[in-house]
Parts: sequence; C-alpha cells; structure tokens
Amino acid sequence: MRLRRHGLTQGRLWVSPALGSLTVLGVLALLTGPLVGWGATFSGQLAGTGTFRSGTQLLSDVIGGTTCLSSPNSSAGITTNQASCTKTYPLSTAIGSASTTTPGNQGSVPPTSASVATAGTCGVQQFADTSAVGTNTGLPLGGTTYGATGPSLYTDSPSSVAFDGSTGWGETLSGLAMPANYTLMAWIKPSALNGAFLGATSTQSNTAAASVDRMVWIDAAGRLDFGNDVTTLRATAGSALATGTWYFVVATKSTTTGMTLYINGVANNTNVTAGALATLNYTGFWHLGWGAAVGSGFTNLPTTDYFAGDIADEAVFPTALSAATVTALYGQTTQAGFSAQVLANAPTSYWALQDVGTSLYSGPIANVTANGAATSFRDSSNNPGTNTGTGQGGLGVDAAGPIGDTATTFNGTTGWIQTTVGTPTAFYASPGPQTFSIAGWFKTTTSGSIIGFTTLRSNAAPTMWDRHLWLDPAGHVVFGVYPNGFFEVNSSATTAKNFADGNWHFAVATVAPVSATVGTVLLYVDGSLVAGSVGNETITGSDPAQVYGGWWHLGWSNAVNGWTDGPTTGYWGGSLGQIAVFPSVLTAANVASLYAAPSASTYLTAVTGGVAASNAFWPLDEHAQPASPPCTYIVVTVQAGAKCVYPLAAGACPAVPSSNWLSMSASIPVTLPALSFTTAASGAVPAAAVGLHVSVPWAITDGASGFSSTLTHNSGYVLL
Amino acid sequence: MGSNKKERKGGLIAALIGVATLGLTAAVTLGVTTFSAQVGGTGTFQSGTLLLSKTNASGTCLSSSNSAGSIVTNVNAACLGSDLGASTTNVPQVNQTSTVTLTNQGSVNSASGLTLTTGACAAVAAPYGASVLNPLSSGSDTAGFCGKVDVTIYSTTAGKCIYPAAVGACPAPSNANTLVTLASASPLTLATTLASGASVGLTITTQLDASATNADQGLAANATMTYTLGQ
Repeated sequence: MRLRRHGLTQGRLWVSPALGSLTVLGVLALLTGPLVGWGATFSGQLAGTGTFRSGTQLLSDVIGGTTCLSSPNSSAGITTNQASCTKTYPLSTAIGSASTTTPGNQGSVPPTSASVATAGTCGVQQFADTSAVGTNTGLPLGGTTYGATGPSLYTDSPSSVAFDGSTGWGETLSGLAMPANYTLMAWIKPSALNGAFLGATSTQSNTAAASVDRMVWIDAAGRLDFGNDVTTLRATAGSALATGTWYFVVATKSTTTGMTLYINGVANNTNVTAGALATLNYTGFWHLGWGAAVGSGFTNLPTTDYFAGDIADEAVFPTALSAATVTALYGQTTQAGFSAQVLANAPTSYWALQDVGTSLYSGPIANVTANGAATSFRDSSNNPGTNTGTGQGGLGVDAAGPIGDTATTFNGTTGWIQTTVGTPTAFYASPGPQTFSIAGWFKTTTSGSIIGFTTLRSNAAPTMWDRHLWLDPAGHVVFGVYPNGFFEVNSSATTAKNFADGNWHFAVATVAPVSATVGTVLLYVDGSLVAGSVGNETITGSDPAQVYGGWWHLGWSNAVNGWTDGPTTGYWGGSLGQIAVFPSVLTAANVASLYAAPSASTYLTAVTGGVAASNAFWPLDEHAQPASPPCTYIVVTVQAGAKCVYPLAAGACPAVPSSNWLSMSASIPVTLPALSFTTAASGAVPAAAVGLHVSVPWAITDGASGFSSTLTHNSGYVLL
Repeated sequence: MGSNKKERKGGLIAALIGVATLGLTAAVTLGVTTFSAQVGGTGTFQSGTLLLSKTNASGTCLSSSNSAGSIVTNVNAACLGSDLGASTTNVPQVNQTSTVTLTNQGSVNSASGLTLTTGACAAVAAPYGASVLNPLSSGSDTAGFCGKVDVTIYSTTAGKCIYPAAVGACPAPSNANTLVTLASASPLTLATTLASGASVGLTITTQLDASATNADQGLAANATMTYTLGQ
C-alpha cells in the first residue's frame, strides 16, 4: 500500500480525514469555547439551579371577628394586592364609641412602612334611584340596614333593606309635583303588622307636614291600606298579612279608574268613588319605610309611622299601571328580570334597595349646612396640653408643612389663632413668662408676626405687649421683649439673610434672667445662634420681660407698636407649624436637636420631654373639613397600639378634638398594632342631619420597598 | 530476474557464516565465567486529572464524586444551593450578593479556561407557605418575572465585571442585565486559562428590579447555571 500524508498531491491541497475532523472541531472550539464531552480533551463540569425568590407582602385585619386579606387566599395570583373589605368597618355605628381592628402581616417580608388613612370622600350612605331619571336619591336614616335577604320569589339572591320599625326610614332628595295618576310599588316582608312603607308628604323630613297622602301602610289588623287625597282603600278582610312573608304590593290611582290595591300581582280591592278619583296637588317628597300615617285623616291607621321589616324594590310610576302589567311584574323570577320590567314601565323613581353602602352621597342636603364652628387647634403638649387654639379670620389648613407634616396658613390681614389658657393660670399670670423659650417653623414672603403675648385674650389694643417673634420688613427674624424698655434681638446682627424667602425656617427665642439686673435673650434661626449673647439685656427686678399676665396669640402680635424693627403688620401672611412654648431655656444643643427632628413624630417626642417639656405645643397640622356637610359633625381619633396617630400625640389619644375630621392620613408602627377608632360629635348637629349614615372609606396599607398591600374598608357608617 | 536469485543466495550464506562465528565466540566466553546486570521496572503511563469544584453558600460541589469511585462523565449536574443567593424574601430595589468560588482541583492546567452557561429562565409560583391565612398566594407575573431579576457577575480574581462585561466594578443592577439577557449572553468566559489548583472567585449580585409590582410577589425565577472547565 502507499501511505499518503496530507500535503500537496498532484498539485492539490489534501488533508487526511482524521486531521480534518480535528481541525473542524478546533475551529468550533475557538468559536464556542471548551466543548463538553469532546473525547479528545478532558473537561469538568458543574451544574445547578440558580434560584431567585421574591418575598410576599400581604396584609390582613380583623374587625369584629371578620378577617380581610389584601390578596385572595388562592393560587390565582396576586395582582394589585389590594382588597376591598365589605361589610366590615373600622368605625362603630354609634357615635361616641370605639371600635378596633387588628391588622397583621401575612407575608414573608416584614413591612418597613405602614399607614392608616381615609381613602376617599366622606359622604352619607344612600338608596340609589336607579330609574332612568335617577335623581331622587334616597338617604337612609336611623335604624336601617343594608343586605337583608330579598324577596324569596327570586332566584338570583336579591337583597333588601331592613327597617327597625322605630327610627329607620329613607329620606328622598327631590321635591316633586305629586302626580294625579300614579303607582306605588314595593316588596315588603313585615316583622310587625304596623306602619307605613311608602308615602309622600309636603316636607322632606319625617316631621309634621301640611300635605299628606299617596301612602301605603299596614294597619293594626294586618291589612294593607292605600291612602289618596282623603280616601282610604283597605285590603279585604281575608287578605291580612303575616309577618315573615314577602308580599308584592302595588297601589295604583287613576283620575278615571280610581284606586286599586294589588297583592302579589292580583287586584285585591278597588275604589272608583269620586274621592278615589281626586287629586291632592302639592310638591312633595317620598319617604321610604315611613309615612305620616298616624294622626292623618285616613282611616285604619297604624300606631306607628315606621315600618318594621324588610323592603325591596320600591318605586313610583307616573301612571296607574294596568293589571296586566302588575301581573307581569309579579311573574318575574329574578330580581334582574324584575328590575328590567320596572324600568320598562318608566318609573319616576326606583329604589331597588340592593345597595351595599359603598356608593356614598356627598352632595347638598336640605337644611344641613356645614359645621360652622371655628377650627380648633389642639395643644399637643402634655404639660398640661389644654391651651387649645381657636381659629380667627382668614386661616387655611392642610397646607404643606415642615418635617413632613401639614401646616396652617394665615392670610396676613385677619387670620390669627386665639389661645384658651392665659392669666390667671400659672405661667401666664403676672409677672408672666420670665424664663421661657419659643420655637416654631415659619414660611413667608413678607413681614409679619409669628407669635406674641399681650394682656388681652383677643387681639384688641392691649395695655401691655411684648415677647413677640416676627419678621421685619427686610426679612430678618426679630424677637422683642420689654424689660421696662423696648429690647430686641435681630438676625441681622450676624446675617443679612432675608428669611422671607418662601422657604420653611425654624426660629427659637430664649429668655432668662442672669441676675436681678441682667438678662439673656438669644435668637436662633435654622438651628444656629443668630443674635443675642449672655447678659445682653439690662433688666430690673430679675424680670427680662414685661411684668403682666396675659395670653399667647399665634399669627399675630402687637410688635408693630414700639419696636425699632417692628413688622409691617401685626398679622402673619404665610404658613406656621409646630409652635411650642417652653417654661425653660433651650440650650444650643436643644435647639439643634429640635431643628434636626426629621418628622412630626420625632418633633413631638422632642417637645414633650425628649428634649424639653413644652407647656404649650400647637402642631397647627389640622385638616380641612370634609366637603359633605353631614361629615363635618363627626370627628375621630385613631389609636395605634400605645400611641395616638390621629391626632399625633404621645401616648393615648386625647378626648376627640373638635376639628379632628374624618379626613386624615397617618403613619402607624410597622409592628401593625391594633387600631382603635373613637368618634365624637362636633358642634350642634342640625336636626335634619340627625340619623344620617356618615361614611368614609378607610385604607390600611403596609409595604416594603416596592411591594405593598392595602385593605380598604368601604362600608359601614357612623350614625349622626 | 534469474540474476537476482543468485544475489539472494550469496547473501544468505554470508549471513549464516556471521552468525556461526558469533556463536562460537560466545561459547568460548561463557566457558570461562558468567556475569550479568539487569535493570527491571514497570513501564507506566499516567493520565492527568481535570476536576472542577464550586463552593457557594451551600457547600462545595465537585465535577466528579469526591470518593474512590471512578470518574465517568466528570459532570455533576446536581450541585446544591442557588448561586443567585439564598434569600426567599427579595423585594424591589434591595440587592443580595452571593459568592461562588470555582477551583481547578485536577493535576492538569486548563488551557482553554472556564465558562459559565446560564440556561433559559423560568418563573414559578413560590408562595409563603408559613402564612396561616394566605398560604397559597403568589404573584401573577410569572411571564415577566425573569426579566425583572437584575443580575451582575463580578470576578474577584480578575478584578473585572464578567456580566455585563466591564473593566473594573460592575454597574449597579438594572433591567438592562437580567436573568433573561444573561441566558442570551451565555456562555461567559470566566477565565481563559486555569492552572491546576487555581481558583476563580465570583460575586453575583441580584436584585428585583424597580419595575417589579405586587404581581411579582412570591415568585421564583429558576435558571440552570453550568460551569465548564476545559483542557
């Protein structure tokens, strides 16, 4: 045989098959890196699974034994991780009482933040008018409860509203010209054979009215009655109702065919007399679960105007429905089908009473105006914490404030805050504060007064005035006292900075006698000493400030009178927040600590003993009244474990402040302590608002980094 | 052709005479005395070994069983522990790091180096089973989760970022470099050569991207990570 080697053979490049294979593999190896299992080389290989797992942030809470989870307890997959918790609510229905919810972390990731907040507009619960007109909203009052079982005839699990027979009824909002021809309709399940379940009067409320008719009721004998004008049509003796049974009641009135009463789709009785054809003309309001029957001119009267039992599908039609139509309505087997039939007959108003309480009405209500009481600015000091402020003139609340809190705005011309406690209470009584400090955050673009002390509680012209802190026309911070002469310290002593620059600044003034003849007045701005020195003040009788008893005024002082660098106005035009008065001298270190407080919570701790104990502290972080007038008569506190978070207070919540509205947002400890909500009335509740169901959605949220979980409680109410 | 036979016969005779002469000479010598010296030994041919080990938080794994058992494939496809970190509670924008050390445990220097091949990522539900009230819930974003796991790989040995390739330190984790893009970039060369006994140290940083939502809770992203040491 002839051995051939790779090389040139007969002028061609020839490569042996074996080496050719190696060459190809080598090229591949260069392209792809080491090859596994390549028989010509050794290799070692390790493989495993790299796994990256995300944690879970899930929230639960328990109210009254009912648990709500932020994500469904299933493998369907978390999407928003936000649950709407129906039929549970962190407010007691009884005003003045407390209720508690206990949130808990159900996920693997501990929360790094948590909060509780109102999560929508406060309003009142309603009975929606689902007719095509749809404007005659009903408002539940008193003892009414959503979610009772609906007519048993229907197969699609309808609901109804339970009326307690003594206080529960529904007011409607529209005053309408009462029709000459009409139909009244309702499904009723009485729990007592007494009371009216639908009727009109000429007043919106359930009080005495000039005109009363167009009413259906159950009389003492358990028989249905229908009143029109002055005529009563009574059901037949053999058709007395029974408690606990659903009845479909229809009453029609026509100027030509008179009055007819139907029970369960069948005409029971008819009256075609002249009285039955008559029409009482007036502008009236429909009442659900109530009628002005007692004492009316009709016969066979009940002993109460209130209906006891369940009602569904109340409607008023502007025509007298025919017997065929009534039969057809009764022939429906589902609530959905029934509703469609009702709407097909064009009712004027249709209250299906399938509401669940999540849709709130926040519009106007006759004779219910907003709580006009002045905003109350709480004293959050604990020493003793009773020097509440009362808003005067042009003030605004809920403005963006310092250290993450809100602030109060002053209009610069009329707005100021009057304080409650003054002389003769100790500290305020003559000789007045002589060793003290004032601290607070301010923001303005103009000259004005932050705080001042005078002999009067009002801001009328006082006989003596000093101890004021203000910004002069050049934007310098100035503090003045009157130790038998006008004395001031001005930030211009060390800095030309204009502090009226629209930014938040922190000012502190301290005053104390050094001896009988020398005092020290110091002024700090933004944590640094800007004016004053030890012994810089000549005094008499060891009193560095004027000797008199008086009151503090926030956002106003009388510094315009007498001081060299007085403000251009006694009022404050801008924002103020976190103002505290101490019966002691804050040191430079104290001042620095207060200035460095990163949050309202830490500041509160600092001014209630953490740094120094103030004897008055006005956070000025009150919130705006809700827009819905009924909501302005209810206030609330929220206790989160050992601390009060609304209002922010050290330890237990105070008595509910009169401006602590149902509009708030607050951080809560990430340990998710139990939350306790206590409501109280604020101001004099208008008679027309008594019994309204005030409601606002609440949300409890916790989170960690980008994950969060939220529980929103939509239903429930506080009975006004 | 006939002349060639004569030449062969003459040669054969000469050879026989030569052998006879040598035999005679030897016989004379042996007849006096006999000494011999002999060197004996085993002819041995020994192959080298190329073995790879990996050490992570869960322990050390060898490419061949760490025993007297025979090397067969020199492939260990069941290393324990996740090279992406052990945390089961990752949240967005908080990173975790894991350390992986790969060592040539064999006698042969690797001239072709060490590579990492990351397989396609797949996400599955990994709910927090310890929740009494909600033991089954996990995020719905299994389709997008892998693309939200940001990853960087830094070689502490080379002092450079392996993924994404960069001189020096790795950039902050971002959704430009995720478990999805890592698979596409595979294989990655961790070392071009690796001498016997030498190691490559890796710091793998992972983070749930800032774009993650609540739908990315309680999920697990899995990808095979294969390290290959060639001859």
